[in-house]
Amino acid sequence: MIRRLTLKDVGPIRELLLSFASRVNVFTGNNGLGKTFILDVLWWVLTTTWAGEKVFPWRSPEVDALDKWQTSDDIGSGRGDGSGRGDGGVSAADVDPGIEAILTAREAQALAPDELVVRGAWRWESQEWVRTPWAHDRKTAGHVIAPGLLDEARLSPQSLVIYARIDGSYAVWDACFTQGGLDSFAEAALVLSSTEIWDGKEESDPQVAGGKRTVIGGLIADWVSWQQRGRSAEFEALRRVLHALSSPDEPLVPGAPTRVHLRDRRDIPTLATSFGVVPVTLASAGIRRALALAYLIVWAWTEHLQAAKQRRQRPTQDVVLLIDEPELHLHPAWQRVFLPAVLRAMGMIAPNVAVQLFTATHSPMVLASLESVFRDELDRLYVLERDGRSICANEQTFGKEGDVSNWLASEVFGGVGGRSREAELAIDAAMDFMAAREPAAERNLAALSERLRELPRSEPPLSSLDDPSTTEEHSDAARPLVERVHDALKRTLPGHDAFWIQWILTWDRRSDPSVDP
Amino acid sequence: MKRFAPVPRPWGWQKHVLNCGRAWLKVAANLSAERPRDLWSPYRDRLAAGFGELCGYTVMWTPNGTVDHHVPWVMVKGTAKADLAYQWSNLRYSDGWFNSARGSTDVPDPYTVSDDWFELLLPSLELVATASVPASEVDRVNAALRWLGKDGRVIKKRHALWLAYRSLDPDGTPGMSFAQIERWAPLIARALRNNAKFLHPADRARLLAGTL
Repeated sequence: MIRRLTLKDVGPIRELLLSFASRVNVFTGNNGLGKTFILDVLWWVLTTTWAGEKVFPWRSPEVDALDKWQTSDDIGSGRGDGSGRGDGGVSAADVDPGIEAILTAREAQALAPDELVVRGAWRWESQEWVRTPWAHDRKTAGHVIAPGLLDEARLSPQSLVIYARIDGSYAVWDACFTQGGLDSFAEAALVLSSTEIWDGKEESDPQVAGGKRTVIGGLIADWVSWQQRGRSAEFEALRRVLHALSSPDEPLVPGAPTRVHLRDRRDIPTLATSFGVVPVTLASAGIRRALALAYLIVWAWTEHLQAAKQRRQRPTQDVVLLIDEPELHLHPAWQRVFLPAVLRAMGMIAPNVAVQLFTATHSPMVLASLESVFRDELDRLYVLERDGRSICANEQTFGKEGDVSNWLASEVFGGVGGRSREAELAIDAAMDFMAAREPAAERNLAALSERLRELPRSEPPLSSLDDPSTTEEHSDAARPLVERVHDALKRTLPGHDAFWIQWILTWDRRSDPSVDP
Repeated sequence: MKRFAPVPRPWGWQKHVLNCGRAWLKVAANLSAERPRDLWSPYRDRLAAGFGELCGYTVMWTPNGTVDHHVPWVMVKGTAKADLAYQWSNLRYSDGWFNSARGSTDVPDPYTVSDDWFELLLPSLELVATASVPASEVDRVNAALRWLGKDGRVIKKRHALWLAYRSLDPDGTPGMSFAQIERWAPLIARALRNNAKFLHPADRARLLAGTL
C-alpha cells in the first residue's frame, strides 16, 4: 500500500504531505485543485510511467519571467544567487520539484523490505521525472538483502495497479511483466484507450510468430471467448463482478453473444435485461463504463495469476485501484452503491488480496454510499482547497451526513448546499430580515433591499394584466420589505422547503408594524 | 387529505380562459398537442387563495403552489371532454413537486374526498388510509399515499411544522400556536385533537373545555 505521499513544487502544489489509509482514500475539492493530478502522481509513483500527460514542476509568474536567464544548473541544484528574485516573490532557484512516497507491504515477504521509499526528481534538461532506485529505510523481514536485488520489480509491494481514468481510458500495471529493474517498469504498464479496452490491442514484436503480439484481447473478444468455454473461471468471475457492480434497478446479466452490424463479423456480448437483449456495444455510457471496469478487473487479475504461475511466483497480496470520478455517467441511484460494490467485487475474485482504493469525486452520492462502510481506521477523506497560490489537503473526519443535501452543505463540498444559488440568497435575505427585528442585531436593511433587487421578482398581480402602465419596477419600490422578501422566497424556494416554517411566523405577523422596521 | 370546498369561479375566467381555450381547442392540430396552451396561470393566486394557500393534497401551507388539473390533459385530449383543461372546476391548488410526481396518476379529488379516509399517525407523522375508504376509492387512495404517506418531501415539512408547535419559546408558549398549526397544517391539528397527550397543557385544557 502507499502509506505517504510528499510533493514539493509539483503541478499546482508547493508543498503537500498526504498520509493514506489502508483501504479507501477519497479526494474531494473544487475543479482545478488537483484531484486527478494526485491520482496521476500516485500512478507514476507505483509504475514510473504516466497514464496520460506527465505533470510538470510548479510554476509562478516570477519564475516564468526569469526563464530567459536562469540556468538549469542554478535551478536544478538550488545554487541560484537569488538575483532573479522578484519583490516578495519566488526565485527560480527556490523551485525544487520533488516527489516522495513511502510504500509498505501488508505482510513481510522474503527478500522484500517492509518499507520502500520512492523518490522522484525533475530533470530540467530532459524535462522528465527520474525515479531514484529503491531506498529502504527500515529493516527487512529479518533477511539480508543483497544490494543487487533491491531493483527487482518483484520487491515492489504493489504488484498490480488498475487506474480508471476520467476520459474512459484505463491503465494497468503488473509487476509480473517486468524483467527486473526500474528500466523495465514501463514494459509492465499498459495504457488502454476507451476503444482499445473494447476492441483489443496488438503490438509489433519480432520475437513472436507473425510479428505481433496481443497486448489485450479486449472486452468483446475475451468476453465471448470466456463465455464459449463453458463455465470458465474467467467468465464465472466476470458474471459475479457484473452482478456486484449492477445498478439497483437492472442487474448486469450476460446474455448470448450475437451479431450486430452486417459487416462486423464478430460475435458481440450481450446483456439480458428486463426489456430485452442489449448488445454491449449499444449499451448506455454508464453501463459501458461499469462493463469496462468489470472486464478490466477480471482480466487484470486473471492475467496476473497466469503470469505469476509462469514466473513461479506467489500472486500479489496487494492491489491498488485508482478510480477518477466513479460517478461518471451513473444515475444517482447507481452512484449510491457503486464504490462499495467495487470493493465487494475485488473481494469476490481475489478474496485474500488487500485492496487500496484512491478515488476523486464531485458526487455527494459517492460520499453517501460510503457512510455504511467507512471506518476511521481503514479509510480517509481529504478535501483539497486553495491556499494562496498553492493547494492544501485537509483531512476531514468522516461524519455521516444522512442525505445528499447535508453532504452538499458540508465542508467536504465547500458548503455549496443543495438549493439553487438564488434560493440561498433569498434565505439569507429572509434571515437578515428576521434578525433585524431583534434590537441587538443592527442590520443594514437598505443593503438588504438592494440585494433583493438581484433576485427574481414575482409576476405582476392579476389586476395589472390589462394595465401595461403598471410596471413591476414601479410597484416593487412601493412595497413593504417583508413582502419583497416573501416574494423572493416564493420565486426561489419550493413550497415543501422546511425554511418556510421558519419564515411563516414572520410572514404571519406582517400586519404588525414592527415587522417591517 | 381533507375535503376542500370548491373555489368559486373567478370573474373573467369565462372570457379570458374558457372561451379562449375552447377557441384553441377548435384548431384540429391542437387536439393532440402534448399540453394545452396555458391560459390559467394568471389565476393561480385566486386558486391559491381559495384553498387558503393549502396544497389540496399535502394539506400544508404552500405559498407558491401550482395549478393542478385534477383530470389531466392526457386523459381528455382528443375527446369531448378536452375542455376540462379550461374548466375552473377541474383545477386544484397543489405543491409543485406533487403535481409533477403525480403526473397523470389518478388520485382522490380534494373536492370529494372524505376527511375520515385518512389518519395522520403521531408521532411518526405518516399518513395512512382508514377502513372508511370505499372500495371504489382504494386504488386512488393507495396511489396518493405513495407520495403523501411518508415521502421524504412531505415528512420533512410535516416534521418542521410539528417541531414548531411542540417547541417552546422562552416565555413558555408554543413556537407555533395551535391556531396557526390548524391554519397551516390542518391534518396535524386534527391528529393532535385525536391524540390529546401531544397537545401542550394549555391547549389540552382548552380541548377539554371545548374551546380549542
